[in-house]
Amino acid sequence: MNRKVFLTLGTFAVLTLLTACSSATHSGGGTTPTLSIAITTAPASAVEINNNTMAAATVANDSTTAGVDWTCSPSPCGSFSPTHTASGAITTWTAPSSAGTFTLTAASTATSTATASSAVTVNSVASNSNLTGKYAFYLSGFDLSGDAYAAAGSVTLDGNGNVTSGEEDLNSTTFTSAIEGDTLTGTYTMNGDGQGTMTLNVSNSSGTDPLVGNNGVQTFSFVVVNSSHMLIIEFDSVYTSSGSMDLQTASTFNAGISGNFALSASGFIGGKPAAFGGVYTASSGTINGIGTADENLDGVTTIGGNLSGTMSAADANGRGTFTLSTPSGSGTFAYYIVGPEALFLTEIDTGGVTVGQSFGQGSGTFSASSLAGGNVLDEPAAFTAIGAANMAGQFASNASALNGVVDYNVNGVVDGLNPNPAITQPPTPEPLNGTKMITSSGYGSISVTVGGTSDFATYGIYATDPTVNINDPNNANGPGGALIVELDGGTLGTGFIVPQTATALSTINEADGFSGIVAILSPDEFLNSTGQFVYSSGSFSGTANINDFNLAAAPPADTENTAVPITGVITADTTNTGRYTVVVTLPVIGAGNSTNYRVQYVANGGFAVGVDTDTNEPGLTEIASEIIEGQQ
Amino acid sequence: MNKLLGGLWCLGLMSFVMVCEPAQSATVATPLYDVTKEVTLEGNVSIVEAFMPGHIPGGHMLVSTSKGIIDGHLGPYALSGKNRISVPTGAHVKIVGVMTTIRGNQVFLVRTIDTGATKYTIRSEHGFPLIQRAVQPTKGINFVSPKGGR
Repeated sequence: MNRKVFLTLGTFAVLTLLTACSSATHSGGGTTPTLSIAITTAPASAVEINNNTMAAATVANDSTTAGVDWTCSPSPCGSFSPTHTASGAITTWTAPSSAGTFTLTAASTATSTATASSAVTVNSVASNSNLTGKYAFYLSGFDLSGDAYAAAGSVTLDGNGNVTSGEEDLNSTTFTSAIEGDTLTGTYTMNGDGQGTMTLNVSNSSGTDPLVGNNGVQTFSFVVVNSSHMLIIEFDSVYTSSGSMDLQTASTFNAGISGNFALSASGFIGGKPAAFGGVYTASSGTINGIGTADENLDGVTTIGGNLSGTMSAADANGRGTFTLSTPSGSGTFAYYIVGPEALFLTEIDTGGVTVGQSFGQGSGTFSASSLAGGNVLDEPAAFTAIGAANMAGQFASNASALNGVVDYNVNGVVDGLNPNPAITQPPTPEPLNGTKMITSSGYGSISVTVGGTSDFATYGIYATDPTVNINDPNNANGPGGALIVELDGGTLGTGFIVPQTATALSTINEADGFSGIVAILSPDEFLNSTGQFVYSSGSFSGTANINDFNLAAAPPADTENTAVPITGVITADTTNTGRYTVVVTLPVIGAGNSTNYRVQYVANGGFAVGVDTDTNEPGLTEIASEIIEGQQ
Repeated sequence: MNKLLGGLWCLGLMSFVMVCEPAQSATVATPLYDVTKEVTLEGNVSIVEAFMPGHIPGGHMLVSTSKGIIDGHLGPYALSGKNRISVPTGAHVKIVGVMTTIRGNQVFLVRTIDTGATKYTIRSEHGFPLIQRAVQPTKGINFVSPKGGR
């Protein structure tokens, strides 16, 4: 085996040398050694678009030691950094943003006709053909009037850029009745980096439905994490929102779901913020959870209430309806089956604009020891008396206690409401300490103290199947976790806990979802984005589509920013392994700053969550959450 | 059979005890909006801005009262979107809310604004900003977009 390897390497080296020598110019007489050049560090034979590979070339017999000049073809063919190297020194080639085969050429600076070359194949991260089948989606966000909306649906993608059919439910705080079961057709296109847009033509029984999207044309921006999972935003002039789109297992539609499930949902009920969650058993079209449901409606909490209801059969798109009684009342929801252990749901009754997810609990049982070990916690969208809030952190737990750190942003106040600390970047995380309780049904709670604030204290937790990935439900590798609902009188929201199985980002291509409320020199801008970047050695670069609604303008203004270049630096927190501080540089959006600060917590090599830690002191405030998923 | 039923009853009771165990309450969050501290202030509006640099995000309304100038925080929705409230500078208003301290600065979290002609309800009775502002030109409060709810 070793002999074969050495033989192969030796042959490669000889061939490379021969190639280089054959293209070198013989510039001297019989006594002058011939200048020659050879690739001595070969670039990777294949890379993905926008990715980097290193190369070096060595010039022999160059008395001037002028070095090497690097070029590539055909154009556009990416870039070298640097374009000129000393003989034998490394240059880094960044592949272009389109696929193809490219030639990297090293030329002697002293004698430019002396060259050596290597071919590199540049592959797309994903293409239209990766998306085939039925995909369920959910979204929540705001319209250009500042009113909230939520949606869920299903699209059938043919792998050739066509949305051949689909179905959608959508409710808004401005609607007198929800939109139910609109039909969808359309198209989608994808860049080689996995980012794309999807245009949906939305119809009801009377024809085009003007209440969805821009007069019946709804545009999504998406980034592919893998062929089964995308992060999405609505990317048109009427709605901005964020969510997920996941491949459906159509074979489960007829059977429906059965077994034990965890659930959480949040949004607005009667114009007031609301969140609820729990665990329940689905069987023969009924839903029951006795003493395992929690609700927080406008700060009024019910803990240990009941869930009950009925569940209609799913249609050909995996859509059915729940009639669900929660502790404070009853509601009707459209659900879309992702698979036997995953549902997306959105409320479709008058007055309820909530969106949620429900995941199976599998055949396992739960105990106080569930979620023991390291975990990452994320509450991406919470409500407080002063505005939006979010929180992310990590903790270690045993059967009853938990300890860790968090970063939070309560309407622009980062990591400490009182007293009045000096604002520095990166911020120092706040301690998280508390207790945990989980019953055999997977229903439980955590009670925590978070430094610098009392806004985050009491949560209901609803454990999921340890083999289910609640952020990518078609990923069979788990690692489970729990849905959570905040049950405080002054703060409410939903989120999740996932086991922390690795503390470093190990994937190079990252899908990025970012959503939040941005207050700049002019006030509240509702902003959502999807993006893709290449991560390497602590820095990243990529692009994002950003849908920015400036609600302070008169009339409110929207800007759909396409392919915004984003770069940044990620620095590990050496004290809190798994926590990273991030400095993001991007062109000014609206009246904002070009430098933004975030904190990320890595749950595993390809998954991280974070909060924006910009504050209002420099004139920019973002109350935003971020999710990063490694592209596979 | 009786033993079986007894066993099942005990099992049921144990299960009930287990699943109905309430969430721990060792930590109690103190809401920023403590309704027991709600007060009414009266004065003239000097500034209404959807954003004030250096202040927490959200709408602000400065009101000159007998106790000085109050920084009234209106939340994220009141001055945004097509249903934004309209309170002119110089208007004499009664505002109901709670004074709180955020990073050393006193902020009055406004729940209602009564201009004499119109009463706006911009926060719920528990202090959460309402995405559907309520306007009360007459006796009843009418949501801008009438909705139901639980």
